[in-house]
Amino acid sequence: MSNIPTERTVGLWKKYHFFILFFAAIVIKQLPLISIPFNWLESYFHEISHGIAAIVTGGSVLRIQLFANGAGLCTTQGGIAFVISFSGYAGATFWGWGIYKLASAHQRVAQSFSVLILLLIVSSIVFWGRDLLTWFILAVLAVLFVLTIKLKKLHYLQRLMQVFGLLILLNSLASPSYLLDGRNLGDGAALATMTFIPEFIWVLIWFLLALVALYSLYKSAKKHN
Amino acid sequence: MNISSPSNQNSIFGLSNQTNTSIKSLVRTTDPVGISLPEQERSLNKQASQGIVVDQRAIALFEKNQFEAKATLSTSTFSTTDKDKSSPKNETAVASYQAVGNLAERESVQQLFGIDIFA
Repeated sequence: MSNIPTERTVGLWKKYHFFILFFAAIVIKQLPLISIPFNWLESYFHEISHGIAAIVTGGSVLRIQLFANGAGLCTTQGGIAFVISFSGYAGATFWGWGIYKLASAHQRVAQSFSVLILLLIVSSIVFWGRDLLTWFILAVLAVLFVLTIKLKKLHYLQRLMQVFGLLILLNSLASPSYLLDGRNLGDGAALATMTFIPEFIWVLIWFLLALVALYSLYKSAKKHN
Repeated sequence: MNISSPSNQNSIFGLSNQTNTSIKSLVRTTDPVGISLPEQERSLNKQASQGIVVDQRAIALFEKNQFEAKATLSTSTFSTTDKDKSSPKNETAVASYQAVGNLAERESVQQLFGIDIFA
């Protein structure tokens, strides 16, 4: 008799776990203090995507700067400017999607991926951080991932990583809209200058990319059931 | 005629702006009883003219005081210490000016070294 409610809960979780995690991510995003490190997380993945794009296209990263309000800067030298500009928001979306997808695959995969992200953050502190605030923010993110790795039950690590992925995706959905402030600044304006395609088109593309990524995760979660 | 004494009136006229009202009240209070009408008028005129003389001196003194007050005010406004102090408005203006300067400088450094900054 006592097993029936547990079975029902498990059934509900299996059926709706994507929506439950998505709702949890929305709630966390609204919480005043708790949401701050997750904003930094999205900002970090945005800047590191610029950096990775610079390295991939033959350039180099000179500096990554992160600010307390969730803003960031990536100073690069060389590389293809168009690819580097575009990869900020697109890259953050890809990171969010990837973290969720890999965390859903297997508990051990989730753990390995968490270690990989931790290593990336540590190397960012060593090679690209140049100021105290950036070091502090990166250290907070590193602690966040150390805590997830240290979790005894890998099941919780998996869920936490999925929430991280969804939080990054949620930020990727909202962030491009901040570019439409009429100031002609940021990645959208840079791409508009390079391609003569208006800034709002780029914002729309990034928004659609994040939306497609979310839909893809929902579809795979549904298929998993 | 205590009331028309210049020394007594100085401070009053000098400090208040109600000069005319004060004259009128002086005339009214010095109205003598039991004097014939023409005589009364004459004495009134005399008193009135006496009052005006006093008033002019008082006004002159008032003006002098005012001039001195203005002079003190102007010296305090343009004292060296105040000149050196910059207002918050000025500080904002200087900061904005310097920010523009730094932006231009940053752009020139970017061009020189081929650096790109992505936000």
